[in-house]
Amino acid sequence: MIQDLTHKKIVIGDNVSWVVNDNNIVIVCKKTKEQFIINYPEAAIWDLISRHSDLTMIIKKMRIITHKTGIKKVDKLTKKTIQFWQVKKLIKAI
Amino acid sequence: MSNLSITTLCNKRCAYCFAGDTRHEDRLPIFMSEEIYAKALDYLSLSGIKQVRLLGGEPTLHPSIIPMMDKAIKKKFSILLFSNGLIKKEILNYIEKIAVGDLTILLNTIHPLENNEKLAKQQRLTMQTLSSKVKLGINIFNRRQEYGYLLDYIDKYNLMREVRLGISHPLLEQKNEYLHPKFYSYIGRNIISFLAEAKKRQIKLGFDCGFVPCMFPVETYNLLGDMMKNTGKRCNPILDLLTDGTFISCYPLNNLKKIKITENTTSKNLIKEFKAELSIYSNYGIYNYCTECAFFKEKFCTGGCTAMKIRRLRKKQPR
Amino acid sequence: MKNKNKVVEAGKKASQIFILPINKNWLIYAPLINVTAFVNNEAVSTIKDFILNGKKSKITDNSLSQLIQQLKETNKIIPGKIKGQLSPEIPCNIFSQEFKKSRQFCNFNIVTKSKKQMNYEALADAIDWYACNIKSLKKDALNVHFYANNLISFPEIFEVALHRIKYMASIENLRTNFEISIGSQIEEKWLDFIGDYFKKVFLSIDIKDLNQIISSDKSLTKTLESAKALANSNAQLFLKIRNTEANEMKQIASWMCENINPDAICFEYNTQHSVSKNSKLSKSDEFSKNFLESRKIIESYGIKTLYSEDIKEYPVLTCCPDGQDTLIVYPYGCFYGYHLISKSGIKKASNLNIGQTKKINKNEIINLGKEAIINFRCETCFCRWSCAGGCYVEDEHPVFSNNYNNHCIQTRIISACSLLTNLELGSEIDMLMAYEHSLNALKMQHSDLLENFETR
Repeated sequence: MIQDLTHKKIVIGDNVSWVVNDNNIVIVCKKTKEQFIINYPEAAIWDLISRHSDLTMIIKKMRIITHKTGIKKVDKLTKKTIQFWQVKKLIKAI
Repeated sequence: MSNLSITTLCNKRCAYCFAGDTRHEDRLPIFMSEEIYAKALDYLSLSGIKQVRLLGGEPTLHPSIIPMMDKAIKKKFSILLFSNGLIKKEILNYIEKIAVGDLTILLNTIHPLENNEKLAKQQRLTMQTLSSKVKLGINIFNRRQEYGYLLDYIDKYNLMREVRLGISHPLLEQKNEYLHPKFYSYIGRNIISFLAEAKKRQIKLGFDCGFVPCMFPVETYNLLGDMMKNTGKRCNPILDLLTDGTFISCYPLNNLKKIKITENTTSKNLIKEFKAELSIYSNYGIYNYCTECAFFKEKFCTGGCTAMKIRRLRKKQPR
Repeated sequence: MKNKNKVVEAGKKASQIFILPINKNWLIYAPLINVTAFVNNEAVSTIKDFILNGKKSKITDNSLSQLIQQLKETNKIIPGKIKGQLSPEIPCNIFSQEFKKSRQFCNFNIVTKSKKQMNYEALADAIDWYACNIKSLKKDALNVHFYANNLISFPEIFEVALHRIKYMASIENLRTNFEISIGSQIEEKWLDFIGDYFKKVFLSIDIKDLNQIISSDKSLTKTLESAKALANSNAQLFLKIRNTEANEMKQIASWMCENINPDAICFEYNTQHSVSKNSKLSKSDEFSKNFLESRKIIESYGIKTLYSEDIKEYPVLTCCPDGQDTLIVYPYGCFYGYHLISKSGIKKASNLNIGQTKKINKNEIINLGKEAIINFRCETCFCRWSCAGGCYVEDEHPVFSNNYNNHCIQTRIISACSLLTNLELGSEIDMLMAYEHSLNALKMQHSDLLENFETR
């Protein structure tokens, strides 16, 4: 079920590990044996989630990171990406 | 190839030992039973493998090591014995009598940095006794290591004119002294100097697993020649059989997956199963820049040691 | 002032061949043509005759003849003056808000009064401008150095800046190289971040003596744990050890090599400063001697030793970002062509204070031209093209001084020994350090230029 996470805390899912490369982040899910390669700007979202759980703050930082992209566009991208990761159980709300 | 780990006992405590995880597992029998050993020989025959590779711990500490070697030779296997060279006289005498082509000891030398002259002396006695049956090996775990003394041993004791170089890899559970990939380039340059010296003395060098092409300067690829083929792709399931009859991919990855030996086990099937298990680590390497590297992109290099790759993984921090 | 200017000009036109007294012989060093040699008294006189006095007769000694030919080389590598264009090889420097407190032994005392916060938008603008300019120069990498010294917590602005830079790099198809200067212990979550994203980490640690480590000083222990974690990461760890008593350097060096295993160790010299006037500093001889002995220990571990003003692979116009074409971003959104200079009268050139503007006028930024100020004292010193005046913000920088100060002396000793090491003349180093009169001759030679050489 996709939750509205705006007022919740989000964390990395269980059995999920990742590695930071120069040009991407590779996420490895030991349980499902899946791997995901994520590039920018989504890689920035993942890195922020790894240290911060407040979605509002993550969105705020993404606006600066993707400076001049347009607030609506970046907010939509961030929320959509997080939803996708939620479906894949890479992240969860607490 | 496959290694048979016939005992967890060892009479040395190498700081870099990557059998450390298995040695600490209480569930493992100290010695491989006769029954499992017999199954192992059948498995090797079924898989078309003609060499029995015995290791441990220190394999010569197995109380039945002589009958085990006997049995292998009678079944027309050649033997490769991975040993620290600290071998009892009785076993030395037995090995001395075996024909040169039937048995090789891969002797893991004590490095001067380990500061253990007493054991080094015992090793040298083994070299003197077994001479051309001995191939020297070294595990590189520290930037300070030099390798010139190996060439002197080869000349002095008339050993096999080949040295096997290995990199110490990290354990996932226990802590061991291992060589961090940051220092691979430094080691690479040292190896090139060593190779030049070895070539002058007509001694070959060989790489074990985990060496990567980028650790060597590009201008030295010609000098390395065929050795380059053993860089980049040597992280494959080795198929170590433990004393309890379970196969693991290799020692550093011993906790990832275990497969019990049966009468139908073949190396082909094992490789397939382990590769499937390890495939989730295939899209990155030991360095941040592996995914940008031409060797990696063209699949000349798989990105180095899988244990090292797993070490790079981040998990969520407790909050 | 006029006489001093004359000296500067004369120095600039000199042969750039330097002669150093080393025990009973001489070290010839010509950094702009990459020539170093160890010769006797007679050889130097001959060289001077041929190079400066135009002598042309035949030389019977082949090696001397070859050396003279090399020294006559006119194709010198002179590092260019700044052009007001970005030099992509020099990292863009980004400073955190808190990098404003003066350190005890240094006058890096910027932005002491401003309480302005880093303007995220101005920072983003600076990054964009930098990325576009690098691209237009047809270079393929964004090199950025973050400064976060003396902090307990990692500045979150850096997290945003780093990702912005990586995002721009992904759009412009550029690589990124990040470095960071940081001091103190680092929280675990930021340790992972630094280990993952940064290629080089310069970690400053204040350690007076080995006892401080052994007695498990709480704050130091946590910093050392951070150092260990970084040493085990993919980032290269450069340990900058500060405020150390000279006779403790060797023990500390050994301990660091055994227990931390960094990529390099740098012992930072202490310089006299208005704040540190009453503090006990190591004498330059003591520092040099112990530094050189520590270097032997460190290098036996396969670890590099660093001394910022040491002999370099290529000559430099200045040692610090001053005088190099780079972008420096300060906390309140100001952009400079170079660091704030101390108040001792060195000319400040066109600093461009953009403040909190959202848009950058590219033409204004591009025109960052300034003179690299080298004091006249440096023109006759063999370290001219390596130390090149050292750190520009030191209060005691000998701008128009006649004499070498402590920093000069230890730099001369260490640099000369580096040259001797390159020539594999370790025995000469041992002799030099053992005999006071030899060392003094090297330390205090008034002019190292060939032009001023006189036979002994």
